[in-house]
Amino acid sequence: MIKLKELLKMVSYQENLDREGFILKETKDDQPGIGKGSQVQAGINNEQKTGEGKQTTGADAQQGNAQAGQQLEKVEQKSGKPGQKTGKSDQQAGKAEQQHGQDREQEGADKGDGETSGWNKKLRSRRTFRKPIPSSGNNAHKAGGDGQVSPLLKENRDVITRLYGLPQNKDIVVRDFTINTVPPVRSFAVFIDGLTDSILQNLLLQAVMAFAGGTSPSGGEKIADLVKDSLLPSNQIEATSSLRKLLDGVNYGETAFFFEGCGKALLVETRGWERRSVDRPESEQTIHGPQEAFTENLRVNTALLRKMMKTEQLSTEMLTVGSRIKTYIAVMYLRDLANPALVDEVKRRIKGVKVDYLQDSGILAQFIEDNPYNLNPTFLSTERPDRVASKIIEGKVAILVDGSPFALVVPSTMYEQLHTGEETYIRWQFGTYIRYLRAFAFLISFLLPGLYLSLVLFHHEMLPTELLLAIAGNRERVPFPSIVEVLMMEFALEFIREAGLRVPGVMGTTIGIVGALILGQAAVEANIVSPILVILVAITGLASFAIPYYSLAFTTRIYRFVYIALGATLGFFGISIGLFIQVLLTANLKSFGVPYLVPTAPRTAAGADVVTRLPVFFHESRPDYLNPQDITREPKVSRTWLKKDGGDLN
Amino acid sequence: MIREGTFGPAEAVILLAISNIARFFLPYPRNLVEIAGSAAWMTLLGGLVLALAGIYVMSVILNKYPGKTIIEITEEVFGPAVGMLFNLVTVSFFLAVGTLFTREFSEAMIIAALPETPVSVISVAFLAMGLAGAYLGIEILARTSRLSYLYVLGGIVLILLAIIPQCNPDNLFPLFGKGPLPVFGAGSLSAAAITEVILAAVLVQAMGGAKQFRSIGFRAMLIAYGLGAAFLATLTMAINYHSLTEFTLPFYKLSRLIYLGRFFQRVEAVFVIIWSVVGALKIALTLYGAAVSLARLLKLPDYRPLIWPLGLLMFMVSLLPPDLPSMIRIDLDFLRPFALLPNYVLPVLVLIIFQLRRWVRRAGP
Amino acid sequence: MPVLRALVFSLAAIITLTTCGCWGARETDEVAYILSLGFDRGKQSELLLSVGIANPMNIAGTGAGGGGSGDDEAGSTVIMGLESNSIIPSLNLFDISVDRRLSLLHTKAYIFSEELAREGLQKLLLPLIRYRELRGTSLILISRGSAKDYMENNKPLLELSPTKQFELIRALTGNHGLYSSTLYQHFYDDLNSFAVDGTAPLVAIQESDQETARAAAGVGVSNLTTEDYLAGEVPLTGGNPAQIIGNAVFRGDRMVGSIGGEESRYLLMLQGRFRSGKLTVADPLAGEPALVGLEVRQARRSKIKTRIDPEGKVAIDVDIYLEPEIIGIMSGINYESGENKAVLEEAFSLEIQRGCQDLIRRTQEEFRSDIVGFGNKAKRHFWTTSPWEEFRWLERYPDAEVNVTVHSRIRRTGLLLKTTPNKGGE
Repeated sequence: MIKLKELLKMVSYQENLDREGFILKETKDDQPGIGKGSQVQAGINNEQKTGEGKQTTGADAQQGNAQAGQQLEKVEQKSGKPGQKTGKSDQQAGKAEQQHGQDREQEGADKGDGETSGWNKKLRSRRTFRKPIPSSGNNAHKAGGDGQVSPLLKENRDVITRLYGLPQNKDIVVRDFTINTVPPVRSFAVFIDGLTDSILQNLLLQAVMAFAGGTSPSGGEKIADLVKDSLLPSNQIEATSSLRKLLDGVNYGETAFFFEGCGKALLVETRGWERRSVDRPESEQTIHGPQEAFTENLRVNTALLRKMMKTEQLSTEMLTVGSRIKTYIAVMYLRDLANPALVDEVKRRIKGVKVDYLQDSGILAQFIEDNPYNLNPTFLSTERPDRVASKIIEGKVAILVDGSPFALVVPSTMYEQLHTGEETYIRWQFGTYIRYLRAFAFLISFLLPGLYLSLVLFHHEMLPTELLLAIAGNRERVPFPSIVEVLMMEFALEFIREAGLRVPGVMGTTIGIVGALILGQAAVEANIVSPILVILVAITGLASFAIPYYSLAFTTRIYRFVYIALGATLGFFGISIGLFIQVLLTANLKSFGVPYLVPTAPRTAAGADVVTRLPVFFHESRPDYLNPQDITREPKVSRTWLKKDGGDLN
Repeated sequence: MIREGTFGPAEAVILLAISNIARFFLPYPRNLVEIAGSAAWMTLLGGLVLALAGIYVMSVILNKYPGKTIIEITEEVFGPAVGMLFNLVTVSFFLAVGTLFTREFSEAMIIAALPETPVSVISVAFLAMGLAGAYLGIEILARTSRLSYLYVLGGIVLILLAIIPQCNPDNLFPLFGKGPLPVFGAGSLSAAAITEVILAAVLVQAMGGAKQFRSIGFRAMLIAYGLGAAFLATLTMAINYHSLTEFTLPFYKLSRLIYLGRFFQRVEAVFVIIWSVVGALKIALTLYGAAVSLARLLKLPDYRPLIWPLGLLMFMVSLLPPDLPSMIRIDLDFLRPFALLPNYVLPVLVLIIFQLRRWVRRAGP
Repeated sequence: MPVLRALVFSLAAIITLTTCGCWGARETDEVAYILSLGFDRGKQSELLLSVGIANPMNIAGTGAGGGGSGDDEAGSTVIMGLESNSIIPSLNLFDISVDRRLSLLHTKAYIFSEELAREGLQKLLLPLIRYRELRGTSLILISRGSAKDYMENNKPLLELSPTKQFELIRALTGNHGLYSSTLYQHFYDDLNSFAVDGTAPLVAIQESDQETARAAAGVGVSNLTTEDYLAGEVPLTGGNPAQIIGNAVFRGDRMVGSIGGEESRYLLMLQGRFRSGKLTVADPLAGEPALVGLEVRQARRSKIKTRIDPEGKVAIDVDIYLEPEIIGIMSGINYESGENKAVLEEAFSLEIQRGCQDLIRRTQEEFRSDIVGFGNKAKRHFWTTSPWEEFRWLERYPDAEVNVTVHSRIRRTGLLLKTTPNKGGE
């Protein structure tokens, strides 16, 4: 016999502490700003900004009657050092949580908030979402690293400990040592384990600790200069008193040396970490030509380009993007060739990007591109240094992003995106042939299903009678209307394509081919599609693989569906509507001041290399639309050995 | 002022040529054959002469006022009131042509490709294309025409070549058709009325100024009329002029006749694509011309807000005629003579008044 | 937000397009394709329409009847008939039985019976040519006998699809010239023209067989028969009973007579449209009657010169250029040598000339219609259309004086360069 109380207990809601586990609560930054809360918030933000380890933040206060100390600790840790980054994601996840568990949580937890209706909460949060609260990230950096190096070693060490969240942060190593000059100078080195080359550091420490004897620093500020000039045998040293610079350096693998009594610290280049070696290109394979590809390391990439373009005119300008975490961007161009206006525009755009953290060149490209709403890409993204080199020599600008093996080349035209290095490295006849084939494939890849549908639905008269009767006969057994058939097969192909990307290695290609074949064959046998459609979709897929640029292939994939819809509703007239509007929109596009369809759309000087490829000795001038500083690249006679007495014999 | 963008002479020539060729896709050549019998192609040669003369006169005017288009020149020469009247004539000419083309191209599309689609849907589609083109500007239209000219002109040439096996040169005789007088008189006037000299004059600043107007205009007219003459000649050779006057769409009929073996026949559906592109370009151009003329007339800073109401007006008026034959009759009786007004009469008047004023001024103090 | 605007726009477009349905979109399995259309005089009404409808499943090989086309009930074509007064509107009446929309988009042949043709084809062709679905490139055939019989008994031997047969028919005239195929559009033009009259090929079901057939040519007469074959008279055994040979002659839009296979060849030669054919000529040098087989090609288009004297009498000179090639010599005489060749050429030219003159005489006296198209050349004498139309060529043609000259050159002699006759075995 169960007692009533137990029964009630059974049916009433009990919070299950085991199951609930960790709940991401909002941090103060994330809270809906109440009128008075904004000030409180600002204050709390400031607290956070100074990076006090122990967070007695509002979040804490929120936890007043909160669930478990476990959660408290987690929140604490989370709003610890690695900063505002996870704090931010904290907050973001917390926002998501907010939507779900809002009522339940805020009910008790909210002290400073009189309102309890969740809907109001949401409304307010949405409203205050819009308020231009400066992101705490920026301020954190500014406030945190804005200082100068102090002459007192202890102060420096305290600052470092605070900023890096030591001693919990085990990546940072602080190595105390004494430089045995006469008198000895106490110092310590800060670096991040894993980002530095330990052999190099050992050499440096050895030099400073063991072989420094004899020199007499004149004390004070001169110590840093002395060590820099005479003692540390490193190939890149900088003496600086800006804490920000030191932090940036240490974050990226350099070692910072602090000296007692010196207001300057040394930043030594000791980078060395595990990286991918230079390998063959993954996505742009050619038969001829160099087979190296960019890697994720910026220095390796610039080196790959430099070793191809051995000239002093090649400039690499370094910019940084990212307010919370800096990403290095290298802009490379030829100083005496590229249009200075172009270079200035590129730099202007990159500098104008305000973002938290920039991971990849693709993201940068989306930030600086001209027309983000059009389907066509207006920049070229490649992982082959030989391709980038050939573009730089034409007068274009290359943008390399640290951490990304894809380089951007601007400005870019559609014809250029349909070229590969393959045609340049082989003879011009074969290059022309490939180009025409590719142009045809480009057209097919988005027009074919639409054309098929418009033929079969509207324009029966255009098919030869036997073909039409064959199609009609095969379609008798298929229960779907044509457009459903086509859409089904197209989606199946898209699925296969997407899935094929993720199936691991060896199985990948097999499953792709076998899957496609079997799928098609089985579909035909089951009378779901007609055989001609399988062929059609396969040809379309193959044609879209023939487009060398991945983004452009995507463009055609999306256009294909538009044309399917148009062809099925309005026949050939629909196709022509689509073509006209597509040409209009594409002709309207500009890429860094260069029209997208040059040299055919605005008629500039005919390039020697647009679709038909002329022999190499006819490529006398660079593309006209770039307006480079020097338009000639070959003299009129490029093969002087043809002349009877021409050509040197030395 | 109105920012128009510029484009080079190559694109300008193609743009004007395509704009002038557009008529041949419609029931218009049938009319020429009716007037001139088997010598329909000669009327185009006569029209070419008249069109070249029109271009010349217009270029003389434009060179006297460099930096201005015909709208501003008319206003300056005639004074504000009369000038505005004439400019309104120009604007209404553009609108009339645009309306005509919308209706006739839609009807042609129905006859040729989509017999069960209502006219309004196709008109809407054409106007949408025209609106998009006019909105994006004349530079984009010029680039589009440059991109498509290979297919448009190449397609026409392809039809003409493909029909050669069925041509019978004897059909061109009697050589002068219904007589030199109808051929070169009424026929030439009719052929000359299809030009768009006034459109070129409105676009003159975008084309690079008055200096190049003459060469651009000459080349465009040569291409357009030359191709038209070749087309009509081939048409007459393939189909006797008796039967020819019966067909609504002679171009369509021609492409239906192509028979190059078991496989390559009845390819007129491909030419539907060519027609649509030409029709869309033409409608976009006339809409743009009307909007820009109106904007210049009213001294507005931009022409884009005018596109939507003008387009809507075109759409509504194009649906007014009850059927295709009455539309063709309106075109014949009303529009053709009306077209002579802004294209030829107006420049001549401007020139005369300009000279008069100069004499008056010289004769004055 | 521009994205929002774009989304709304595209949504509106999609809704507009899809909710109103796809006008005029017809799946291939909602349409039945008429491959040939036959016209007869009906018993109760004016017309008996016969349609041959394609059976796509059979043709594609996926039907219940398998890939064969020999079955009667599930063949590749289904013939149906209907008596009615009008053409296109009665197509709807076929729909009620076929349960699909009939379409003339792929009709390759229009077959009129001779009876109807003699009464005038204008009222039948005119409504059809206005119809959008009609192919201007389809054939016109005149059937001796009922068109329905022809369509029902026409069982092509080697083709799976019946349309292929008509395409081949059209192309085959270049191979032998025994009939002159004409497209719908050109036939219609010719009916309306002031300069020329139309012809159309004759088709029929074979009526004669081995016994009742006329005797083939005796050896020594240079023609295939003593008289010319018309369609249905060629005594073949086995195979498809449908035959096509010979042409029907029209004056205006009425049929006034027919010419046989050989005469069609002469017609094509006169028009300059003859491409190649295998003819025979009587052996001029042999002792006993023998034949020489020649494969004849047209070297150049025929030259037609017309002269109109002030009273309006017309004189026409025709030059025909032919290139025969020796393919068979029964008598064994060495015609490859110089003088013999000249003799052969002369004999051949005379033969063709005689045939052409006979044909022209027949058109002038019996048919009184200009099917060769001399009017096209006579047009050149006139500058404008009104005098030409008042000249009334077609009425003056029977009084015109026509001279035909044939020039032939034997260019090649096949694999043998010198015939040495068999000496033994008498």
